[in-house]
Amino acid sequence: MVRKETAWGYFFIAPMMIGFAVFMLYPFVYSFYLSLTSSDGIVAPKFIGFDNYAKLLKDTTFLRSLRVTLYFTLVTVPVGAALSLLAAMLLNIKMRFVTWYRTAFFLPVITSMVAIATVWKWLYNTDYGLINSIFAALGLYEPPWLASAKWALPSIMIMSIWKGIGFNMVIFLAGLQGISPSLYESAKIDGAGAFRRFTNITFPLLRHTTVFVVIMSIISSFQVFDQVYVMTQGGPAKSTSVVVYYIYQNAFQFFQQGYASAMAYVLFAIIFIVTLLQTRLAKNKDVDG
Amino acid sequence: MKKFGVGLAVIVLLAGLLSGCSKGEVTGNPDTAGGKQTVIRMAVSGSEQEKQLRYETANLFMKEHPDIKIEWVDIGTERYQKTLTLISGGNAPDILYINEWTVPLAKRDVLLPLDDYINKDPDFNLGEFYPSVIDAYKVDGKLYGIPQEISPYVIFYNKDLFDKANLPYPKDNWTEEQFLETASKLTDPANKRYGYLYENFGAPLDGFLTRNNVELYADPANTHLDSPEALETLTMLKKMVVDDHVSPSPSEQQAAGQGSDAQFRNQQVAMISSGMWYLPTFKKDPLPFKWDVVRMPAKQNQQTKVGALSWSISKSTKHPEAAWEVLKFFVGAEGMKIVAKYNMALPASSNAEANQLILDSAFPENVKAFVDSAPDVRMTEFMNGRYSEISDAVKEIVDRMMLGQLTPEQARQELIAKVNEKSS
Amino acid sequence: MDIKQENRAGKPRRKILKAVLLHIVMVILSFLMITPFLWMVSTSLKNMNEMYAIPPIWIPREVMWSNYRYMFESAPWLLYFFNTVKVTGLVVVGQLVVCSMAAFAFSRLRFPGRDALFFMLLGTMMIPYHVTMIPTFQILRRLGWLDTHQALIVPALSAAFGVFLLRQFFMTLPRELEQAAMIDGCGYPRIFLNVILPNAKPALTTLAIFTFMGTWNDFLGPLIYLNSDHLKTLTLGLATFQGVYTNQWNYMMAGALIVSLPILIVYMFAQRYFVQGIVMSGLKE
Repeated sequence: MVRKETAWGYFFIAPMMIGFAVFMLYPFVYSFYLSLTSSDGIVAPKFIGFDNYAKLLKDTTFLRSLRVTLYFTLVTVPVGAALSLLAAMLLNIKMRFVTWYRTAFFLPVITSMVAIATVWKWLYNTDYGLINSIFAALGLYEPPWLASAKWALPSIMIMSIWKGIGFNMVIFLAGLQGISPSLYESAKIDGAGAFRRFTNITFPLLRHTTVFVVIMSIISSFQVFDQVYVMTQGGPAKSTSVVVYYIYQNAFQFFQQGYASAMAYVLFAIIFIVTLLQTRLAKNKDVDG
Repeated sequence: MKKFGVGLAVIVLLAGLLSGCSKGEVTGNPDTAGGKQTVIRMAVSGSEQEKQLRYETANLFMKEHPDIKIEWVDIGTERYQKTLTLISGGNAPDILYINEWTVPLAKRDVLLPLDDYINKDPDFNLGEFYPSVIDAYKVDGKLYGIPQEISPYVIFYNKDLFDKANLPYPKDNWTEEQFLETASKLTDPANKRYGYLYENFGAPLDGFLTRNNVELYADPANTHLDSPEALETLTMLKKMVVDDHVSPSPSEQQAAGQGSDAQFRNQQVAMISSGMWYLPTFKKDPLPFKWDVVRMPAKQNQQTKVGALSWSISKSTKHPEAAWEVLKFFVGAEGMKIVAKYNMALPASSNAEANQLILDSAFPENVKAFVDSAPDVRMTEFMNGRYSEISDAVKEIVDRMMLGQLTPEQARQELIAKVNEKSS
Repeated sequence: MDIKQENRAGKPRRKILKAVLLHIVMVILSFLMITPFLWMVSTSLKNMNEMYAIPPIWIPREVMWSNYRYMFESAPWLLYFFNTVKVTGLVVVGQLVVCSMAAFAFSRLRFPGRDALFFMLLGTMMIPYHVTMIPTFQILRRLGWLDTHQALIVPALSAAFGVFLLRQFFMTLPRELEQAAMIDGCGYPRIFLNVILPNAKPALTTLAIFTFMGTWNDFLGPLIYLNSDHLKTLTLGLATFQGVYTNQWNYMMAGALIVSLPILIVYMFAQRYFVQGIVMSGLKE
């Protein structure tokens, strides 16, 4: 019996693993090799051991970009996931026009980043932007947003969360479809309130979906690039220079492919460890095995 | 165990694929033996209009040379990524479009030196090119690229706003002092209008330093960053942007999210500095006011920075002779005339006929300012193999000065340290 | 009992009030989400001078429908459209097959090395593409696939993202489903095809939407791997409005809107399967 299951297991993963071996494993291994060389992306790479990694520990620009990225991830992942779940639950209510609302929430996901960036720059504008005119009308503090080294990163975070809600919302929505409505009905009869229904039914049953959303968000937040590339190019004064932006610069502008690869592997190690911890945590909470 | 077997099989297969095909060049073309056409793969990039210009030149060339066919390799908007990937992937086009990357790539031995072709070609006259431009494509005395277009930075100014402020229009021989005074008179804080748009990176920043004899990209001993002039220019920039605020600050520009063409068009700024690349758009969608151009204001000299387009031949090309024919045509009289016709850059050579076409266009009125600037272009940054890295560090330091985190003197010290560190 | 009674008495008015409130909230939130999209529409209909006006203008004084005409005439869009449909269609179908098979094995079967292999797959998503682009390019060159559509299709089939997404959904399906099928004498292929897949429609739909969107919008892949004009996809066509120094925003926005329209249509159409999912799992109770 077991042997049959094993054989079928390999059979089912075979197409995936062949593609994986040809198109992903080699680039993955090769870029690790490059991280041990002085490759500039052109001349045959020279092996230099762990020199790139040693250099990284002293590279203040890299260390700062790591801090910026960490800060970005710590804020956007939990806030983004929570808001997406909330949006999914709202949009799972049976109501008229729900298809239209769902589409509205999904629009930021498909709208081009360039278009989004131009609009948000305008929203953030300190002279005539929409946000600060509202803040002014309410007598609130008007942040300098993208114009300041302190506020530029939060500005990008807010925009990223906004853009990401629709993506995760779709996944949560799909997850919610797997929960039988009869569970809620019997809970209602037992007198459970909305909050209790959420903590006792929705959240536990969405466990696997949440793990997916959180891990994917972690992976993509650590690799945030497009927003920075389009909106600030890492400025002002490097306050939004995230790791992947620095990797991009090193790989394609500074002729430092090897050094860029070393950074990529440091980033990889961090994401991998965080993901591992996250799955362990999720498993511990797992009651029914 | 079985898994390892499968894995091993896959890896062997993979290795077979990787080594097996190394001989069969995928995109290479059979040689011209039987009177067949030689295919030259040539990189192209830029806007629709820019590509049109290349296509027109190529068609003209192919009519004259039916034995050579030009095939385009579109490197698109992410030029660096694609070029580097093509080169390191072993699939470089025969003719590369690399501009400021010429020296870094030549140093990495992927470009063909052109001197032999030039020397034995009687119809090609390198003497027509401006020496300060040609030097930017040399490594150890050998030439690795020839420019087709240059576009010197000049000042674009809004005549209507000058009229409103009762200011005379600037003259080509104006000075930096006059420029600053003009900018300050054009500034109108109540209407959020600035006299000038100072962009804090690359050419505009380098330009002000160069005109005061400071060269960020010269070798470290010759930057003159420790001279009083360096401090003078940094102080001037900070005063202009921060204290007098006659230009939006770099972070304000970032936040505005509009390029200098947009801020010029909506009259938020009265003067911008730019090359000729805005002309086609300004012609197609006219600006809602009268405007003209004038040379950059003189300090100790009146040099200016430049946007340039150049062609190089890949060392891996199988048809160097044919590639040279193509390159020669693009940078020769015919190619230069087409450049002039499109009016989006200057011909990179002093070819009289082509430059006359530019002057005859009379768009804008003082288009002569571009032509007159050409002999004064200074391209030190092209000669520095680590230009992009240094300029990135420089931008950060000057950004911090503009944010008030550094005094001009501190900024200067950091610049000296950074330039030395990056050049070592 | 008396909760129900009270509900019945106060139902109509309270329910209506609740519904109205809900719709107000939803309309406000929706508006927040679609603003940039509306801005794109507005920009696509402006001339240069209004496009850069300060303060920004929402409704152009002169509506430039001609921007769309200009945009349509600027490139062989029909050809690009068919290229994009071909690539996207094959990637979506192929990825659904490859990823659902792998996800089935990773979530429902036990075999040695399963978790290690799965983590390896996950791991490949943690490396930024900037450092894997060149080696990938080298492989495609060795295969002779540069400047072909297969370069965009085949590597995209084995997507770690897809396996991960489907695996997580397959894990939520109750074990009893396949145990019942096993007792009926079904083998693994039958369980996969007749039990797991029909119950995972919302998940498969989700993956299809994301894959469709990702492939349709992919810019860097086509840019790096394709050179020839006749193979280009829509996103590459859009880049013609992007110069080195200037962007023609109005044409770009017009183009971007038209290009993203199919994604929107696919998304709205696909939502039907979200509802079907409820019905199916409801029946299984």
